[in-house]
Parts: sequence; C-alpha cells; structure tokens
Amino acid sequence: MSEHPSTRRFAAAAYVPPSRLRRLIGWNTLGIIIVLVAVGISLNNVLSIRAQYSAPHKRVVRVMHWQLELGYRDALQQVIDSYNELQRQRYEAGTSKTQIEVVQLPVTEKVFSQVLKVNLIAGTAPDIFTHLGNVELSRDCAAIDQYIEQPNPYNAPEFLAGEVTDPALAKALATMPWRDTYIDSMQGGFNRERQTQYGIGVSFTLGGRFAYNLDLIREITGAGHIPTTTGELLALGRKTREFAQRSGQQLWPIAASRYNSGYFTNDLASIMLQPWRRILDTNRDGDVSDTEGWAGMASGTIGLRDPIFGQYLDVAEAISQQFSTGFSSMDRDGGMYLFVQQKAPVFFCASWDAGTVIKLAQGRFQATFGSIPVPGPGEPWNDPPRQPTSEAGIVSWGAYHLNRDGKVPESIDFMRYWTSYAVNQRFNRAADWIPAIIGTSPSSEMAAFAPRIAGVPGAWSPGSTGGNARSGRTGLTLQGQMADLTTGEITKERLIERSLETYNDPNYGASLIWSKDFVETRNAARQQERAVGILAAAALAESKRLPATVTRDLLWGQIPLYDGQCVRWMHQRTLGTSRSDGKPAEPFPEVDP
Amino acid sequence: MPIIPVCCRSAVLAVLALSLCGGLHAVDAVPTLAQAMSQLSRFRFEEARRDLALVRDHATAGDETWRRATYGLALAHQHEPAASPEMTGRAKELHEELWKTCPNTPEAVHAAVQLGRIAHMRDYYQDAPDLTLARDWYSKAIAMGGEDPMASQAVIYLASAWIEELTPAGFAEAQQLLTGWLTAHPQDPLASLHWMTLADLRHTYLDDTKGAVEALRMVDRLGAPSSLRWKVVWRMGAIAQDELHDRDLAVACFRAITTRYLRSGKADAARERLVELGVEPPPLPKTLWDNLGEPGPVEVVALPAEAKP
Repeated sequence: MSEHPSTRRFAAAAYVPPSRLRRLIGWNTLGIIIVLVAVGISLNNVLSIRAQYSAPHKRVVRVMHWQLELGYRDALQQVIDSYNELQRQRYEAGTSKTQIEVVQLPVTEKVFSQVLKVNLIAGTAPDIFTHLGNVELSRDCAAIDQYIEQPNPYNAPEFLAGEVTDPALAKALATMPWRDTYIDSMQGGFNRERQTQYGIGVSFTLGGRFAYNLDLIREITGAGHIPTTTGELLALGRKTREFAQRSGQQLWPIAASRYNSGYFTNDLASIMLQPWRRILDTNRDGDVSDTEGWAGMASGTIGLRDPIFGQYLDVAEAISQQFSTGFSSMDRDGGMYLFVQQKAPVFFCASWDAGTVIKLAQGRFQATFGSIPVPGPGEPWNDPPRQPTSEAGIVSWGAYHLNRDGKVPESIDFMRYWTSYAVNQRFNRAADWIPAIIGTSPSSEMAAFAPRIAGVPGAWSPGSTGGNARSGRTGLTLQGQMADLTTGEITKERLIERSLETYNDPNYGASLIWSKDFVETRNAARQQERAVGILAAAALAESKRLPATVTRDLLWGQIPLYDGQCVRWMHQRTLGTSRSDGKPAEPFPEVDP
Repeated sequence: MPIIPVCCRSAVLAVLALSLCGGLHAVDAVPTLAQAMSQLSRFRFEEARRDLALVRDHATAGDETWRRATYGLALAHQHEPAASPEMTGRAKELHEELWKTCPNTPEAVHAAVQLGRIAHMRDYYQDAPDLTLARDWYSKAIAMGGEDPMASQAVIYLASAWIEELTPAGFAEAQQLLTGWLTAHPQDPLASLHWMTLADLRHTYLDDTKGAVEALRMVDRLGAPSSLRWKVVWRMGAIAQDELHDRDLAVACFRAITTRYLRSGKADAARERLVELGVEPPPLPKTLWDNLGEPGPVEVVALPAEAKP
C-alpha cells in the first residue's frame, strides 16, 4: 500500500534540528552582523570625510546652486577639481598655510529656497550660494566692495600664458580691478538700493534665440540654411507641414511649451513695438518707464488699435500657429524633448537650455542657433522696419553670494579663480553657457548666443507688464489674452476688445494703473530711504562720512521719484489741468490716504 | 564609599554651578557701540533696538557714545519694516531729544534731517506727509550744518519738498534754492546731484530745455553713477536734437554714445540719430571692451556750415 500524500507532507514538516552553522549564526546574530557592517561602513565614510575635510590645515568651502541643466555641474566640478589641486600644491609647497577645499551642493530649484533659508536661520548655510531673491542681503550676505577694486590674482601672467591672444588685453587683465574684468562691470551682483556689491556673476543668460535641427531642415527643404526673416520662418513651417503630410511622419514646425511661449511673445514684443520707443520716451533719457508707457496709452499716443500693435499681434499669431499641438499643457522639458526627438525642426530656446539641447542632440543631428527672425524687406509687417534688439547692456543673472558668517576670504579666492579669464572661458564653454569676462567667447555651438552689440533697445510693451503691480488688471488681462491668442482660443480682435474693456473699466482700468503707479513709486522712494539713512548712520558711528559718491548714487534714483509726485505730474500733463488737447481736466484717481 | 550621598552632593554642586552660569547669562552684557551698530547695518532691527538701548542707557547723556546710540536707536525705530505710528513716534521723540540736548553736533544735524524725512515721507498706513514741517526741519539742518555734507543733502531734500507741491511757485523756490546753493558751493561733493535735480526740474516741470541742457552738461562734467552716465549724455543729445535743435551738441552726444558708451545698448540707435543729423556714423566696435577706460565729458565741436543740412 502506498503512503498517503498527506502523511508525507506531515513527515516533511517534522522538526529537523538546525545545522551547526545555523545554530551558530541565528537570525538575530545575522541581524546584528548586518547592523554592525552598516555602522562600520557609515563610520568609515564619516571618518574618511572627516579626515578629508577636517584636517586642521583644511578649509572647506561649500558652493550651493540649483543649476541642474546638463553639463553645468560637470563643468563646475572641473573648475573645483583644478582649484583643489592648485590649493593642494600650494600647501605642499609651503606657499600657503591652509588648504582650501571646495565642494559643490547642487539642489533642485523646487526646494532650493527652503533649504537655503532654513540653513541660513540655523547658521549652517553654505559659504557660497545663489538665491531667488528671498534672502535679506544686508543680514545674510557679505558685502564685497573692498575685494572687487583689487586685481584678480588668477589673471596674473602665469595664468594667462597661451590663453589670451591680445597682448593689450593680457596686460590689462593682470592689473585692472576685478570689477572691470567683467563685461557688465559686475552690475549683475550690485545692489543699487544699498549701493553695495553682494553678488559675483559667472555667466550671462540670454533668450531670444531659436534652436534649429539642420539635418531635418535639409530633409524638409533640400537646403541647409536657417531662416533669417519672419517670412522665411513661416515658409519653413509651411514646408514642414507639407513634408509631414507627404511622408506620413508626425512633425510640427516649432516645438514649444507653455514655459517658453511666454518668453517668446515678450521677446517678440520688444522687437515689433520698437517704433513706439521714441514717442513714449518723454523725458528723453533713452528708456521708457511704465509711467511713460501708460501715459502714452492715456493720451492716445499709442494704443491697442494702433497698426504697430496690430502688426505685433499678426506676427505672434502667425508664428504661434506653427507651435506643436498641445504646447500650452507641456512643461519646459516637454517642448525640448519634442525637438531632440526630431519631431520639429525649430525650438524657441534660451541660453540656459541650449547646453542641454546641444548635449542631447550630439550623435543624433546637427543643432544650431539663430536670433528671433525679424520681418525682412518686402515682407508684411516690415513697415516701419524692425531690427533685432541690442544685448550690449546685458548683466549677469543668478549671481553667487557669499555667506556673511561663512569663510569669506576663502570663498572670495575661489570665486576669483572661477571668474578669471581662462577658467571662466573654459567653464562656460564646457557648460555651454555664456562667459562673463571681457575678451572671452562661448563655445562654437553657443556662438549665436554671444551678446549682440548691434541692434536697437527692446521696446516697452503693455502686455509684458502682467507681473508688474503698476499695470493693474489691464496688464494681467493683456498677458492672459496673449496666451489665449497663441493657443488659438481667441482672435486678435477679441483680444483687443477684451483688453480695452478692462482698460476702460472705471474701477479696474486706466485709473487703477495711475493710482497703482503712484503707490508703487511712493513705496519705492520710501524703501530706498532705509539704506540712505542706515549707511550714513553706520559711517557717523565710526566718526566718518559716507563717501559723497555713495550718497550721490543712493539718491540718484530716489530723488526724481518725488515721493510718487512724478506720477501725479505726468497725470496732470496728460489728463489733468495741464493737458494740451483741450479736453476737460480729469482729477487724479485718489487712493487710500 | 557611599554612592548615594556622593551623587547627591554632585547633583547639588552641578545645580549650583548651572544656576550661577544661568544667572550670569541672564545679566545682559552691554555691547559696544560698534557691535550694536553692526546689528543696524545688518538690518536686524529688533536686535539693534535692544543693543542700542543698552549702549545708550550705559552712556553719559550728551556724550559722543550716547549721541550716536540715540541716533542709531531712532533709525532702528524709523526704519522698522513693520512700520506703525508708535515706531515712528518713538523715532521722532529720540531725534527731537538729540536735537534739543546736543545742538551743534553732527548727530543733531542728522537728526534734524531725519525729522524732515519723517514729516516728508509716508512711513505707515494713513501717515500724512507734512511738506511744510519737512521744509522747516531741512532749513534748520542747513542753518546748523554749515559745511557738513548733511547740509548739502538737506538742500536737495528741501528742493524736492518744494517740487512736490507741483505748483509754479514751488518749482521757482526749488530752482532758486538749487542755483543759489551751487553758486555759493561750486565745489560741493554732491554738486552733480544738485545739477541733475536742477536739470530734471527744468526739463520735466518747467519746460526750460535750454536750462536743462546747461545743467546736464554740468552733470556730464562732474560725474554721475557710472552705469547711468550714458543716460545723461543720451538725454542731452535727445533734447538737443528734438527740442533745442542744437545740432552740434546732438552730434557730439550721439558720437559719444556710439563710441564710448557701448554698454548702454544704444550704440546703433545713436548711429541712426547721427544719420538723421546728416553725419556719417562711426562703425560699431566688434567687442564691448575698448581698453579706453572711463569716458570723459562730451566735447562739442562746431560742425562746418557746409556740413549742416
């Protein structure tokens, strides 16, 4: 008789004494071993890091930034590695008593602000950091005015050998103040309200460019040149659609996202509204303030039914019709990936994304860049002619700041190294960003991003002021309507009607712009008063006087605001008792007392 | 050795030591004036008020430390971001105390100017500026200040308090004040700011284009913030071309913009202006670095008559 299966199972489940080894190493022992190994590894890590960074002669400088674009971290790491090596050599050679060691801390911009703020409050903030404007400069950041007047030691002849071809530049770099080695004279890190240098820029950022897939353009058009006029860009769009239909491929003329479409309409406005510049600049200082711009709207000098504005809307609509389907629901990366996946031959691209585009296109297709095309001779919308905007006045953005309670002299030394001619050029070429130092040039792929000297200043646009409190509800409406126009949800006529409805509203329209402008100007004057008073008091406490040039520069921007009265005067001249068009005077729309 | 009594003794000693340390800590050490002022420089207003009050309390009324601590303390109230009538009121009290107790000191002149600023500007919700009172304090500061640079600063504030009346009489008073001061103090370190205020007054408020250009030429000679200097030259050129029809001056200004103020971003726009003025514009440089240093004042060269359109 055969054994019943259930009996076999019972026999198998019977207690079997563990082996000698299992008895020796039970589950509990195994757990303890794992914990001990983990503790050992952690301890080893901690001790090795401690040994690496906390030797008595070592001074660790931490750099925190949010630049997670492809290439930036690697390029910065190369700078850090070469600097650390230089420091090691100097220490070992006995020329330096301490050895500076730099480490970078890249943090995503989604939590960057919180991480920085918490560490600043806790007193554990990094020595060097970028910030999003939510840092109290006087409290948290070191003033570095004394340093920028001295030459950058890393521009000494031994660091420039073989790097600079112009002997006059090499000679000048070695002796000129650090500030003057910058194309923007370090304005990107200068706080005008405090008349103090807090920031140190390392790169420039620029928008206003299109990225092109030359291989795809060749396939579509049979020619390998990029559009230089609006008409050529639109013709490329037409050919792309025809090619897509012919070949059955899923292609769009321009890869876009909601992130870059807003940049595009603003950049286009600064080109297409150029003819307004001269007539709006009533104080003739070369710039158009919001007060001047809106006063021009109030007086009828410019208007939303002006043909100039109509041409702007025409071009914005025509180009946005070439955007990829559903772009308004795509984030920043979505549009870029459409382009690198060769789903479109064109992509509106700012300099901070160009490096990522170049790196993702490598080995796939030939990417190149060009400025926003302007209407060419003989094309519609070219009367009066428009030009690209000049970028000669560019200032660096996202400057690095030094922790006031951190290792300031060591941080300064590293920043000098990073912003020396040779290193800054190498860094920016590796990262595919735009260098900030005179005489340098970007990588050949980024040549189209070199700041343009030619061209005219960007124009003031009523639709570009949506985020500006002075423009009230009208600016916000215009900004929203422009977004709707680019997605094709509304027509140009509807955009103008809706925007004028808001502008003419007795409560939320033009009158609100005047009163908001007055309040903002008055607040700006009061805000500047704080620095004027406190800097002078600090000097007085040391039996000194604030240098006259500092007082002059502090008051230069504050005095002409006349506590907001300059806005009232503009209103008086435009619509009030001094108006010149013979219409009845309107009272100033008063705000809270 | 009995363990419990030893532990008890140790605990008692430890508690005693901790209380002593705590007690010592509880007594605030008086900071130095420099330490207290550094809190103000760092815009730590609450800490500044605490420290400056301690310094002031421990100084002899009227001496230099007391005056400076009082002035700093007043500013720490005046510029508190969470502004309120109480804060401003306390600042006024302190400034007035300084003005009354220590006349003819630099701190008193500063205090008078600040009392003018408090009357002049809107410091908190529903604060009503009093321009007449502000002018009164500025005038007192000017009278007491003598050659103190604060007196020169007060002149500009006084002029702006007149301009803000937005009346012909106010504009005239401001113009008279500024021209009078500049005549008496041609070497004033803030002269370029006086001239700039005068230029703006004449151009924007008085429609005196000729006078405005004269004042702008003085600013160009005396200096302006380096990043804004091109604006002085541009403004001079644009007024000269569009309003004054002074072609020689306009050409000189736009040439300077094209060749010496590349960073203005207006070089091409200036070249267009030169073409309008019938002059061949210089070519644009290839780089933003010209190795020429700080630009000098604009030099007007009379153009030959035949060259004029």
